[in-house]
Parts: sequence; C-alpha cells; structure tokens
Amino acid sequence: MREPPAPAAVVEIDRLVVGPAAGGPPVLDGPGLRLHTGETLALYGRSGSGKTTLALSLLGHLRPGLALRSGTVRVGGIDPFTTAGRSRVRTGVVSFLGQDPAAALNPGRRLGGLLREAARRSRPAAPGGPGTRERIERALAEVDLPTDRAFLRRYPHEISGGQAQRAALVIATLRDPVLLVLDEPTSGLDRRLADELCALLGARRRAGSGAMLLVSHDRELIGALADRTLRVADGRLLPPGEDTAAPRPAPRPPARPAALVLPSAPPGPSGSRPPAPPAPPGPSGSRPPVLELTGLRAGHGRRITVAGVSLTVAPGGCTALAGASGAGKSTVAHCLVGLHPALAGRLTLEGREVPLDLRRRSPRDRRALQLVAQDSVDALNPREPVRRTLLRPLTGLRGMAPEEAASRVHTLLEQVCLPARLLDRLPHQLSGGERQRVNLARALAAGPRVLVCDEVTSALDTATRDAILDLLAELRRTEGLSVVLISHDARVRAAADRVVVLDAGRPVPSGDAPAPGGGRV
Amino acid sequence: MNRWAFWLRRLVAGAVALVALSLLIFGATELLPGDAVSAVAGPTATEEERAAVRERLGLDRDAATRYLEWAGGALRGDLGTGYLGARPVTEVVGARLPHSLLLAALALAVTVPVAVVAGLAAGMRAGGPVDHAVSAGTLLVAGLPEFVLATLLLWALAAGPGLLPQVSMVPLGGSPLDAPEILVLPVATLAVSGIAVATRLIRARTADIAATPYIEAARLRGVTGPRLALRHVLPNALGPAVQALGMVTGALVGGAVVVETVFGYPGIGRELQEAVAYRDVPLVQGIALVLCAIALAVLLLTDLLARALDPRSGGAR
Repeated sequence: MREPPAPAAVVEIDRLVVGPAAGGPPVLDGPGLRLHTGETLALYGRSGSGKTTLALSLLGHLRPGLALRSGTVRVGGIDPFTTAGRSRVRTGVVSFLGQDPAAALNPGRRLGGLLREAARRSRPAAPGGPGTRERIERALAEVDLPTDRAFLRRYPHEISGGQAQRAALVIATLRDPVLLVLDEPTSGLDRRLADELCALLGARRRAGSGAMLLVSHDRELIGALADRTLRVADGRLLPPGEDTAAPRPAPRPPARPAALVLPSAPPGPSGSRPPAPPAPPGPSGSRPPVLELTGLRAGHGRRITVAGVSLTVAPGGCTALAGASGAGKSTVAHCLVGLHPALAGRLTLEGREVPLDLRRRSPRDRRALQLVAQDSVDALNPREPVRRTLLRPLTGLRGMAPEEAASRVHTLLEQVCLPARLLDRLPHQLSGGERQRVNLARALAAGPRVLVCDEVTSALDTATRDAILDLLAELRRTEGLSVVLISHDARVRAAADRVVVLDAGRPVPSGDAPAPGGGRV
Repeated sequence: MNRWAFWLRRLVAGAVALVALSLLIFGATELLPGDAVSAVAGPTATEEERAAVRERLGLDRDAATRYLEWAGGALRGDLGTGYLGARPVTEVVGARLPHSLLLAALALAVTVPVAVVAGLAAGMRAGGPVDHAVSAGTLLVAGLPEFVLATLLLWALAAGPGLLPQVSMVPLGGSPLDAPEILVLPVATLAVSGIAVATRLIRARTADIAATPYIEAARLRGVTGPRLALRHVLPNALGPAVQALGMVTGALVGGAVVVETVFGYPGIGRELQEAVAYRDVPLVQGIALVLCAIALAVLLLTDLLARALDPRSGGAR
C-alpha cells in the first residue's frame, strides 16, 4: 500500500447510482466519497439505507437484481466494475469481512488450504520478503492462533468460534490489502467475540495497515476504530447528526391510525433508552394470566435441554425469556407454539388447557399463539410476495372474505409502519428490518392473543430495533396483545414486566439471575 | 457416533432389508401368472405326469416351507436349480453377471465425469444460460424411456450408417472385451440416462452450495471459475454427489434388463427376462435376489464413502 505511484485517495466514489435492474427508485442515489490511506471511515444508517450496497460496490459486487446506473468507483485507481479491474481489486487491493466473519470459512476445506490460497493469490511478494509459509505463520501468531501443522489440518468446525473468527480475519488480511471493508462484522457475535474482534481491528489500525471502511451500528466498535463517521440515508451520504453514533428511531409515517398514536416514551438523549415498559392495565395480580406454562420438559433426541420451566404472561403483559445462547430459550418458544414436542408440561390459555402438540390444537388455539421467528430470511417463503404472505393467515386461519382480507392487509402494513408499495415485493427485495416487520405482520394477521417473539431484534440496527419494540408496546396497549419476548439483549428485556432467566435449560431463581448479554448495543 | 457403530448399524439394516426383499421376491414369483408345471410338463401331459412333475419340483409343499428351504439354500450359496435345462442358478448367475457388471462399470466410468462437470457448470450459475441448457437437456433425456433411447441410438449409429453392430453378440467362449465394438451402444444407452439423473442431483446440490456465505466470501476474495467450482464447491458437494451416483449405479445394474434385451447382450438382465418368459421360477428368484443384494451393497458402500468424504461427520481424519 505504500508502493510508489500512490494515488491521492485509496477510495474515490463519485456520484454513484445503483438501482434495481428492473427499474424503480435507486438504492444508492449519487453518494460521493474519498478515503485516504490509513484512514478508517464508519458508515451507519437504518437497514435498507444502502450501506451494504455501497460497501460491496468497492469490490465490484452488486447483489442479484441490482445494476450500476451511473457514477464511478475507483479503488487504488482501479475500476472494480470492469472484469479485469474486479479481479485485481479482489485479489489484492480490497478485502471484505462480512456479518459473522466465521461464516466465510468453507466447512469442507482445511484451514491450511484456505490460508495458502489466500496467501498465494495476493500480489507478488517483494523480492527477498518472507515466503508464503512464513507469512501465514506470522499472521497467525499475530492473532494468537496456533501455527503448527495439526492446527492447519483442522476443518473450520473443529476450532472454536473465536478462533474461526480470527482465522477469517487472517484470511482477509493476509494479502495486506489497501482497503479492508467490514460489513457489520460484530452483529452476529456475542459480546465476548465482538470485543475480541474490536481489539484485533484496533491493533491493525494502529499498525497503520491500509484504510478501513466500517459499516456498523455497533457504537463501541465505531467509537474505538473510526476517524470519521458518515450517515447513510436513502442511498445518500450525510454528515452525522448531533447524535453521531446513535441513530434515532425512525420517524413514524404520519398516516397511522389515530388509535395507535399514544404517548410513547420520548426517545432518550442517546437513543439507547430502554423502551418504556408500559404499565400493565390494572395491577398485575388482580387478573388471571392470559398464558400459563408449568413444568415444561423437552429435549433433542435423548438429551433433555429444557426442564422445569414455568412462565406466566399477564393480559397485555410482556414476559421476557433470557439466558445465554444454548440455554434452551428457542426450544421453549417452539414448545409454546407447539412446534417442538414437549415431554411434559401444562399450558393454559385464558383458563383453558391447550395441548402442547400442535396437531391436537384447535384452529382457535393455533391462531391465539403465534411465533415470530428469529431469522426472517428463513421464516419467509423466498418465492412468495408480501401480499400473499399476509393474505394466507387472513383467509385461511381467520376465514375472511377476499375483499375484507385485502383491505386488512393494508391495515397490517400500516401497523408495522411499512409502505403499501412493498406488497408485491419478494423477501429478498426487502431490507432486514423490512423483512422482520413483514414477519411480524404475518403473525399479527392471525389475530393472536399471545405473540412469541424469538430474538426478533437481534439482526437489526438500533433504530429499527427500537421501532419494533415500540410497535410491540403499542400493540400491547391498544390491542391487549400479550408478548413472550426472547432475547439476550438486556435493553430488549427492559421492555418486559416479567423476566424468566434460563441457564442450561433450567430456570434460574429470580434474585441471583446473572445478566447475560450485558449492555452492549 | 462411533465409526464402527455406524458401519455395524448400516450392515444390520442392509441385512434386514435383504431379508424383506427376499420375502417380496418369493411372494411375487408365487403370484406370477402361468404355471411352471404346465411349462415343464408340456401342454399334452396327462394329469399323472403333471402330478409327477409337481412332486419332482417340490411344488406340492406349502409356500412357507419352500421359502425357508430357498432362503436357507441362498445363505449357503445354493440358489437351487432352474426348471429348464436343470442348470444350477448360481452357475447361470456366475456366467452372466460379469458381463452385466462390465456394462455397468463402463457406463459408470462415463457417467461420473460427465455428470460432475455438467452438474457443477450448471449449478455454479443457477438460472444462467448453461443452467438452462443443461437442465432442459437432462429433463428431456430423464423423461425418455430406456427402450426409446436405445432405439434412437440404434437408428442413429447402427441401422443407418452401419458404424456399429446392431446386436451385441459375444463371441462363443469369449468375453465381451474380445469384441469391444459390441459394448458401445449398450454402454451409451445406460450412460446417457445415468448422466441425466446424476447431473440433475449434482446440479441441485451445487446451486445450494453456490449460494452460501462462504462461497460469496471466496468470490469476493477473487476466486473464480474452475478453481471456485473444484476447490470450494466440490468438496462440499462430494458427499451428496457420491450418494446420487450410488442410486444411479443401482439403477445401472438393474436397468440393464431393458438394454440387454434390446441389444441382445448376454448379461444377467436378459437372462432374467428369458427366465420370466419361460416361468423358470428358481432362476427368476435367484437373479432378482442377486440384483437386490448388489443394489444394497452399492448403497451401503456409497453411504460409507459419503460419510468418509464429509469432514463434519468425523469420518475423514
């Protein structure tokens, strides 16, 4: 990167316009950007604002369905949108590290093979410089990974999550790139791994190795690494607002039903406020719980993963289910909606006993308990447009007439603050936040009494997360909806009026409950 | 699961499946229309002669006794004696099976490389022009009955231009390898239909893998073309591909019935077809049992191979 005819700027983006190949509003609407050697620029913005598209344009990569309309991109003087330029840029100039870095490791290849390939494909080493093997060993040692043969012969599933993440970082940086592009590198990681990655990237930055472009909503990461921060909104780059690293919740569309505009807690100064827990209507002890689960026992195969779990949900209340990953939270959620076979336990809904097996539940009981799954990509049918996704529960489960259902679809979209123009999109044409809202709207379409939300906010940025939590709070107030909220995020759990903490499938007595997840945003 | 426990379980499961299949085969031949007694004794036989034949063939005893006798003999390597010509069934199988196995092995040798290359090429860019061409072509061929395919090839290569013999006669006392040209058409027919099925299975798996984050990451590292397909996609597609090819191999051995009959090739498939035509029950039973055992053995082997090829199963270390 410090080689002679060094261009003035590592990255030059000029009036870049990228939009759907089929036509429609652009995803990137003419942003311009310059990034100098040794500089670290952070980009943040709501999901769907075009951050990832901008980051991937530096590698000449456009997601399927998108097309370059106008504008130029130069990285180290090379245009990545030409065939030759793309190959040069990707094999030595720009490296990319995406969400959950370890997912970039091919499960069918040994670490040594992956490392050697990355080293070989880099620009020719300076004469007299270290050989491939030495460079790999040095790079591994830098991040405290073993360098012995036995380690290099391992497959990615045979090393720990932290090691896999460091190995992915080594693979991305082995060629000593001029620019390292990081797209939400910490969003899929728990706090310990996120801190570790942050420290490694900080060390790299201090070593002065090239420029970095960081796309993230992780305030700690931005604070620790960025020289400069820019906000992305509607495909444009804007100077950061007064609340630099903490995007505010999105402004609500004005066209919401009046009944839903209730005074909600005003956003805190930093935007990181815990969503206000609304007072349950009436003292919580005075009314019987809407949902009561006692003595749940379930397992995978012969292994018992959940035992003795009980929880109650007050009418209009919110019960949080917390615990470290692998504690059995999702198993409990799936048992509640009847998708996971329970070995023992009793479930009552509004005083009636409900079978734990979905097949023995009446249509009414099925409607009453709805799941919003963790991963909105997997939860939505990739070939089904939003309209049909929402119509099915309306006409099927609730037996609505087609006209009534069609108008109800619009109400549902308004409830989750989505514009009606998304109705004919397919899931992959939506941003992560939009997809999760569709996922939520589908569950609401069934007219549930209790909504079981499994980590619904974990893949979302702060602003979208807060908007979703506000929405849930409003539904509780206005519709009397009860919510079971599963999350490892302490701020999300703050929305709940009851908290059940699981540890290795057993409930932790309240009082000595640990605080898993911590306060990281 | 421990590797040896896995092997043992598969072996036991295979043995159970073979017993179930032997019951099915025996039951099916019991239900076979026509009467072996009439076939053996001839149409002009008197009632006494027919009774004598029935007794000689052991057909006067009940089905359970005969099944146990047959299955017990099979375990000792004795599949009984055919009604016609009184040839021991094992001898017939021993003489004909190698010819069929040769056919299947040659067809497999053609199928594997072609199916892997075509499947990878189509799956790497799902929805692209190569994918469309390969998918349409394999769909067309996979939907074509084998005898139609064989007839088309015969017409195109043998009947008109006379490049190849129309009937695959093996020289007396020799092996098919003495006249390699007779193998071309049967092998081509078997391979083409095998390629169609295997390519579709491999293409589907490749398309799934090509869409994973680790393949996108490799693309963003500048890995492209054959290297991406062979070094990054193929290691993950290998296990499923082997299983797909295992299914095809089973079909190649069994599917030889049609092809061998069309081309008059003296393999076990043609022998089976003739045995059915002559109501030679012991021969039908014996050949069917051997073919089932071969198919089961191939499936067992491919399961073990697929497991060994998948690093996540803990098999390959």
